[in-house]
Amino acid sequence: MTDMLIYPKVTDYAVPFFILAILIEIAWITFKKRGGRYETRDAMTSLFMGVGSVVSGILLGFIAWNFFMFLWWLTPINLGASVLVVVVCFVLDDLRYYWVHRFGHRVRWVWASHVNHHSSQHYNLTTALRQTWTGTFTLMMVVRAPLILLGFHPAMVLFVGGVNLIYQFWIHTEAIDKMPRWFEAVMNTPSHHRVHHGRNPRYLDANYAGVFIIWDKMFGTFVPEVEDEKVDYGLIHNIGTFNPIRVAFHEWVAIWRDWRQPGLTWKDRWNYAVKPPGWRHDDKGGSTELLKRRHVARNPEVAGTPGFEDYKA
Amino acid sequence: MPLHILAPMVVVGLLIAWGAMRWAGCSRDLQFTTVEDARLHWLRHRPGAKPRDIIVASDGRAALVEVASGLWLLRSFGIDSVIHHLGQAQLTPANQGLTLGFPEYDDPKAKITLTPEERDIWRDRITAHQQESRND
Repeated sequence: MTDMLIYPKVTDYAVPFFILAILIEIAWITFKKRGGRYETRDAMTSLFMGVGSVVSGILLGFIAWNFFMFLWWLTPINLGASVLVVVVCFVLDDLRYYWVHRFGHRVRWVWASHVNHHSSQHYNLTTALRQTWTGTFTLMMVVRAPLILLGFHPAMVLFVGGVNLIYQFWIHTEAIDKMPRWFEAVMNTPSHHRVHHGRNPRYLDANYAGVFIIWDKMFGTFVPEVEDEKVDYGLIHNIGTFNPIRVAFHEWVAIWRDWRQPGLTWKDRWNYAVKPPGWRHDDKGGSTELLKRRHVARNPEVAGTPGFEDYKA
Repeated sequence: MPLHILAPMVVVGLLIAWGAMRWAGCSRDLQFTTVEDARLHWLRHRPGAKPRDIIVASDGRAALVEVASGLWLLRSFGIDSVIHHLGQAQLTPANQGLTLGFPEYDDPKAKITLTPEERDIWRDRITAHQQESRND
């Protein structure tokens, strides 16, 4: 298939809305004295990460685009561009997002790209824009391949991916507590996504959804926000820099340093790239499972509660 | 969107956001007001590691924390805090305290403001800890 289809680059058009929403959130927090926290250097770092992500897309986007167009050339199927097809594409792309996001937390090579989004100890609308510069290097573009081979045009796939990212902007806030029950049941919300950004053992590796929270419920990764456990944002080991370059590349450097340790086998090096973050060849690492186990050992009363369903006191 | 519209819009947006945060007073630094305050911040980072001893710098922006796994630095980072193990830290005396160099790429250096007396205490504690670690 070679016919062209053109959609607007929706994330660019959303920029004025992003800025306005951030100003409203700052004003809300300032006047209401609740609903989140802002720190100038942290927020500016997030915004610079967002700008860098756009620049990275301009510089490296051609790699994914050419790959997609090659797949489009290969496939004999063209589902067209009706509204129904766009809606189906949006839903399936959100399933794609769920898995890429899950890989992003469970495969260190992908985490190296995604970690910067979690590197702020704050959770506000600027955190949404703290995006990766190195997504192309993860090769996660291959997860979009089935959509294109099924007959969804690459331009449509990128368009719905952009809409997905715009949806996720507004859920990065503490200013909204809970949405109506039916909405919380189906959609990703500020409450669900706060959990995803939590470093509390209860909230680790949960709620990977982009738009529809149903994927987490289907695949067993859903954890609700618990009223008496406030989310603590950031990383297990928080980084101490506001330098966007260091934020963007620190985990890649860490992988490189791990690879260069003396006495490693090639299998160890492979595992440093593909095992979950925290894995170490000498078993001295701190996996999510280990952190949860230790937390339950210290707090036996939490065993069996959300986030600790599989852990016994 | 054409780059000649997008780029100025982003620059203006960044400036407005920066101005709004300055106006709203979002540029303060965290200070550990007491040892207990520093302890609570430490436990946020390492809930399972109870501090044996804590020394808070007089400006409240850093603390030495001793736990079973050794000596750590707790320091303010904007209105939050970060921690560092001091086992491999490189100490350089500075006019107003100490500069600590770390092997981590994500935070290679920390400037700690200390009085001359504090600087001597901190330097001795960190050096002794590193010596003990090497002997173990």
